Order: sequence, then C-alpha cells, then structure tokens
Amino acid sequence: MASEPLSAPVTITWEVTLGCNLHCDHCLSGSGPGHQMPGELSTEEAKSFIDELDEMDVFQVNIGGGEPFVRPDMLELLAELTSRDISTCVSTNGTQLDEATLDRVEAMDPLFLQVSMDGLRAENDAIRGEGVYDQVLDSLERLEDRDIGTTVNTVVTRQNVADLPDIYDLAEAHGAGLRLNRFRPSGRGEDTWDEFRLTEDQIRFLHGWLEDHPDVRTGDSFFYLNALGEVRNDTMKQCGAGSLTCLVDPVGDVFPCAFTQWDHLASGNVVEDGFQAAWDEIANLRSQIDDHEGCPAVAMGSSDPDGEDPQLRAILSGD
Amino acid sequence: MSSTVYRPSHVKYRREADGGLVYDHENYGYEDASLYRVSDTVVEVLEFVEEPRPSPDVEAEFSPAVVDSLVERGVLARGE
Repeated sequence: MASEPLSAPVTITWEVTLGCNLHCDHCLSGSGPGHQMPGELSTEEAKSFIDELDEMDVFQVNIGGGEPFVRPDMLELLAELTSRDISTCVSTNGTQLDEATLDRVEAMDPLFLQVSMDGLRAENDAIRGEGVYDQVLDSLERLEDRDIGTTVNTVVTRQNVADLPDIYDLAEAHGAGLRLNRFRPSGRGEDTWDEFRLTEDQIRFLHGWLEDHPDVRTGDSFFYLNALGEVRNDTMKQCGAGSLTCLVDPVGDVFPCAFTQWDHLASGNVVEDGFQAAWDEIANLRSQIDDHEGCPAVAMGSSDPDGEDPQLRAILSGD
Repeated sequence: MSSTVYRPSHVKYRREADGGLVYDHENYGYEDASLYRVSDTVVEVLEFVEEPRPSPDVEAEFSPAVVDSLVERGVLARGE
C-alpha cells in the first residue's frame, strides 16, 4: 500500500509464552507443557514493551502462545494493554478460563477472546487432547452467560473440514462468531503438513462454503488471501507480513509473521534493540518474502521448489 | 444548539510519512477491523477533533463537505 514503510505495524501478534497445558499435533509454535523458552520476557520487560507499543501507536495486539493464561501475569499485562486503549485480542485454548479469570476479563475493554475448536468432539480431541472439546463447550457457555464477545477459531485440516457447517451452527448457538485459519507448515505443523493439509477438492469445498457464509472470518483479516488467492474484504489487499504486521516471540525476537519464525528472518529483539529498531529493520527482510505468490509462509515452509504457495498453485495452474 | 463532531472510540488513527492510517474496529470482532489509508486532510481533521468540537467550528476550519463525508464513512460522529 504505502510507498514508504509504515512507521509502526498496524497490528502485531505477540506470543507471550511457549508454555501450554495442551500439546496439539498441529501447533504453529510447537508449544506444550513445560515448553517455556529460557528468557521469556519478565513482567517488567513485557510492560516496557507495551510502553513502546503505545508510544508507536500500534492499534491492535493479538496475544497468542502457547496458552497465554498459563502466564501468571497474563491478566496484569492485559490490563496494561487495554488501559492504553490498545485493541487486544487473546487467542486461548479455552481450558484456563475459570470464573476469577472471567471476572477480570469481563471488566476489560477493548478486549476480544478467541477460543480454539478444531472440529467436533472426535476430530477436536484427536488433535487437541481427550476431553478438551467438552471443556471448550463449557467455556463457551460461560462466556455467553457473561455476554463476553467471543470468536471460535478453527484451523482447517483435512480431518475437520467436513465439520465446518456443524461448528458454524455450534458457534452461532453460543452467540459466537466463527473464524477460520489456514493450516500452515510451521511449528509441529511442519511435521504434520502432509497429514493435515487440505486436498485440492477440500480447498474447492472450503472456498465455496466461505462464499456461502460471508460472516465467517478468516485469519487473513488484514490480508487479501483466501484459499484461492481471491480478495474477500475491501481493506488492505496484500500479505501484511513485515509491512502491516509482525510477530514478537516469547523472548522478544521479532519476525515478519507467526508462520515465518526462521532465524534468517529475525529482525531484532524488543529488549536488546527496542521494538522500533526491530520494526525499522524488518522492511529490509520484505524482499525475502515478497517473491512468493500466495502465502509466503506456506511456500517457504513447505519448501516448494517454485517458491509459491503450493495450495494456491494447485488451484491456479492445475498442478 | 449546534451539534458537536467527535471521533468515535472505535476509530484510531496515525500520521505516516505519506498521509495517515485510520483503523476502525466498529464491528468489534476478534482481529476483525478495517484499515484505510487516508490523506493529510483526514488526519488534520481527526487531530482537530481530539476533543469534541462544535460542528460549525470544524466545518469552518475544513468544509461542510469534508465533515459530511467523514461522518458518512464513520470516521467521525455527530453528537449533541
């Protein structure tokens, strides 16, 4: 969009920890129990980072992990973000939302929750763990009772794509929206890419289903891509990795997006270099990802020899 | 009594080297907001109404057409 790089990202994804009480087979960050990284940002370092986000006028912060609520100071950090009127979106697995946590969350604004559900009971629990589906359903009911705006997020896989109509109905029945994310080959997704990625027929089904359900959001809300590389919204029509958005990992390293956390794409550290310096540096990395059609992360992560998003290429060229 | 013009709380903006950005979270969805690239004039209007201002003041500083256009787009709102 702009000829000059933006002075700051519009939105960032901040993975606050790699610790998680679950160990999902497709986890984009390879999180799990006891997987906290050495040197994850302390509370004070995290608050200093939030200071800088505020000074830079970053509009929106998407909190992810790991499971954010396994951080003992998570509510304190959310309060810090929302008190500065930074739109704060928290992606949670939905198993850590006890009543005390919801009491605090309910009082925060602007704050939005996303709860993961990767299929109905059988498919969800096969990927996310036994009994997780029922815990998530319980959380959705309690969130609805409190009228806390919630979105159900589904990473679409070969195994759960057929469940989408039922997940849509289930979310709607709980007053929640539905948001879909592409499965990408990062984290444990690199190991399970061939097992979970959609077939060509499934991509076509998904595209048609999305056309029939325009209220379903995709994980590319600021980006122009859908499964077929077509525009589904009227805002910024480009991949925003490193130009509109970036990823900050648990130790403060900065990457173009959550799915491009490779050493050669790191642009700095929010503690050692400061976030402004890391953001200014990231513009120099755009040339390494701009040449990939479709989703650069999918292209690079799947080692496609032509350097394209293979799911996109399969549709566009019939390969 | 004339109305005032103000920036709704779900609208945020930022000046950039070339114009500015307007972020609109009106729909209040998870990671579901709109983003627009805007001219220097729009940024100047938003800075002018950092505190709510009487409509005639804003229209005199810019123009009624500019104010109407921004209200129609949801970037500004009118109140009493």
